[in-house]
Parts: sequence; C-alpha cells; structure tokens
Amino acid sequence: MTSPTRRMLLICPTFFGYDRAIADAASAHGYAVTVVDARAGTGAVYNSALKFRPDLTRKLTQQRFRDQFGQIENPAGIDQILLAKGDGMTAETIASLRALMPQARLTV
Amino acid sequence: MPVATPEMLGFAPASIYAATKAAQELLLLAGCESLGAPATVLRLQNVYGAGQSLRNPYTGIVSIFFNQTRQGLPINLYEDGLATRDFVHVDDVVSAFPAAIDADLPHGVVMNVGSGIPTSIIDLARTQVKVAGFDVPQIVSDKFRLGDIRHNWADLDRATRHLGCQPRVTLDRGLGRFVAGAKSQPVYADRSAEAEKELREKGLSA
Repeated sequence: MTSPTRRMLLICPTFFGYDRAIADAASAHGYAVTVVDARAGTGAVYNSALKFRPDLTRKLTQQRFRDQFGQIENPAGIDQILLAKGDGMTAETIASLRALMPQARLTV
Repeated sequence: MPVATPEMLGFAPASIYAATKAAQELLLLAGCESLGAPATVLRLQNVYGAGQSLRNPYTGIVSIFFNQTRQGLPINLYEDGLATRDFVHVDDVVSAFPAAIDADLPHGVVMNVGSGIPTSIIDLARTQVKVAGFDVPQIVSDKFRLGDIRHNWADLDRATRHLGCQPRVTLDRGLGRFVAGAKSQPVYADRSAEAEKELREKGLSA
C-alpha cells in the first residue's frame, strides 16, 4: 500500500473494535486516520445523562473534545471528518471542528 | 422466479418496521436537501459480525440461532425455512462507507450494500451449526410473521458502479468470525419464544 496522502478524523464509538474496523477501511482508501472517541464518558451514569439530560453532560463533553482536538497535529490539514455516531457531540463542538479544520468535508 | 431487489423500486412497506425504514430514508433526503447537505443512502441488508448483541430476541437472526445452538436448543425456522435473505458481513459494510465518501456522489443516490447472494434461512441455520460445532436439530415451524417478505437479496449493480467495491467475506468465513467473538460472550437466556408470543398477541405473527 502507498503512503496515505489524505487525512481523516474519525469520531466514532470505540466499543467492539468498530473504530478500528472503520479506520482500517479508511486506511485502505488512502487515508491517514486519527480516531477520537465519540463519547466523553463510558459509564452508565454518563450514558443515561447523555440520553435524557444532555444539558448535564454538555460541559464535560465540550471540554473532553476540546482536549482531544487540541492534541491533533496540524488540524487544518484534515481532509475528511467522519462522524460515525454523533449523540455525544454538541453544536458547539461541531462549530469548533469547523473552525479548526476549515478545509475538511464533514460526513455524518 | 425471485430476482435481486434493485433500488429503483417504489416503497411498499408491508410491516411497521419496513415503514419506519422508509420514513427514515425520506426524512434524511428531505432534511439534507433543505439544509444543502448532500446525502447518500446506503441500504444495509442483514448485517452480522463479531460484537453484535446476543441479547435482543427481536432482531438479529444470526444471534438468535447462535444463542439457541450453544444451549443445545433446536432452531425453529419460520415458514418452510426456504425464505431467503441477504447476509452481509460487517467488514464489507464498513468498506462501503469510505468508498461512498470518496465517490463524491450528487444528493439523493440510493445504493444497496449487501452480499448480493440469497441465502435461505435453513441454509443459514445449517451453516451456523456447522461453523459453531454444535449439533442441534432445525425444525420447520410453518409459523410466519406478518409483513415478512418471502425473498430479499440486494441487486449490487449500482453499488458496484458507484463504489467500485465488492463484498469479500463469504458466509462461512463471516460466520466463523462471528462465532469466534460470540463464544466469548456470556450465555443469555433464549427469549425468542417470549418475543414470538408477544408478536402473536399483537397480531403480528401467526
């Protein structure tokens, strides 16, 4: 396989190895893939709050994504953002992604 | 004579489940169009693979059969066991997504994602019994669920043309991967009879 020439940010749940399977498929299409967990937490309390009281998880979620996006090298060089399951995302997080990665095409 | 199902056929949902699927597709296409966001619809057939839930008795025939066989329970087959479905391994489904992103299609393209192969339910049961290594009988029940269509498998012409990818995982190999993962999960009580009773009471099964 040739070296990847494109970059993808994959935001995806990380259970059952789904993130790895999708990242591998994207790699086979020539992407260098960075994976970010779609949820800021995995515990039952967080998951319940995310469904029924997302206002309670908003702050934690935004901070977690801000931290993770801050670790991505040259975010403006990301070509594709693939959001495989977005129930842990907020409108503010999407807006910050757009600002950090203005060239990237967002696919949900 | 049954033929593969192409995408261009109009909706004719014969069950509540099918109607919800059609509604999701229409909502997505209408919503995305109004937002100016191009949408592509991938119609996933019967997806299976390692990690899928063994608990839910209402969906996932592969999980239900596995759960029954590992407990030595007979597999009850609806109708005469010869109804067909299209079982596609999750790895083939996953491959279709980056291909669809790269295809850069105009708004509204609808494509089947499946194996393109009709598999009878009795063949699925036999293959699964063989792959899992459990020896249990398969019983034709003559029962049926209202709205279940007799045959369904995907016509892959459009996906092949737009995505340039073909399914690679055979049923034998895919079930092998599924079973390897499923054996590491706990044994769950078989609730399929309970689910069937509920469907019957609500007039959805006979």
